[in-house]
Amino acid sequence: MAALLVGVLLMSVFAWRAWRQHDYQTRLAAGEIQVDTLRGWMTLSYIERVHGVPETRVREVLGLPGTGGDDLSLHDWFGEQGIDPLEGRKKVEALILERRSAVQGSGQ
Amino acid sequence: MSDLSGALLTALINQGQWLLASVLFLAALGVPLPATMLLLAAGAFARQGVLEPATSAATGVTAAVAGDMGCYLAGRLMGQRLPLSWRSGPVWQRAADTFARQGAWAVLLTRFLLTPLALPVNLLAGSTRFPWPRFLLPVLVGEVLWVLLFGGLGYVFADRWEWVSAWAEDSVGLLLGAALAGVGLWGLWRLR
Repeated sequence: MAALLVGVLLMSVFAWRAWRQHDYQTRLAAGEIQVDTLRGWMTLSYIERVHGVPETRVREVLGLPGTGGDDLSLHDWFGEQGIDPLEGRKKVEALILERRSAVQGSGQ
Repeated sequence: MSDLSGALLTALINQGQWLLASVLFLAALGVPLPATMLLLAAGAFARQGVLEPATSAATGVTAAVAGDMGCYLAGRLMGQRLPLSWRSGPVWQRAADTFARQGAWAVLLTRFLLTPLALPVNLLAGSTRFPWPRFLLPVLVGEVLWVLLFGGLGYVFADRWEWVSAWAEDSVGLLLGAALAGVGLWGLWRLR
């Protein structure tokens, strides 16, 4: 009986994880997510380090204060400034894609 | 990814190895925190230049070992408070004898492979008065392996560490399920 309960519990956990993965892949395929390496937990300085987009550009595009809030994540900024997360994400994604094409262009 | 995991990742970027050490210490004490995920992230962050690899690994191992020893001590104190009739009973004695023979392996394997079982193993080791020097050695070896294995995976797969983390969690879950099923089958076989 205990083994059955544990089995059902494990299956539920794996089913939930599979559904989450499927949902993410669907959003990725639909173009809702264009940069799959951008996350809400990332700080602006981390985005600069990993994606090469200057922090000042992100602040400018999102309409954030020029300084301060260095410890805040993207998610925190959206909440604090009342930015719609989807809209905000799209703006940052656009900067990352712009940066990528600039790097690719200069490499050719 | 949960809000807690996201908040911990942001804190890891901001606070560095001290946040990593705190989480690994608390997780070893039994606080349900995503320690393995954070370890993978720390490996990736080390590759990206956010964390310093060697000191982060050393701090992480030290914190995890300290947490394990704290948990062992808690088990020892709890064991003393159990009624004497329990401690001198045949079931308890059998468990203590089995742990005295096989405990070191259980301690070692639950550090880096069957990690969800680390807490009960620590408590069992303490409460059955498993000698602490014999506990410390597999703890040390196991935690070094855990940090090197998962931190190393994060370092190598820095741009895909979240995928590796999901894979690792699934694998540990499956291994744990298989281990539980194995124990159940063994129990049934013994009852026959």
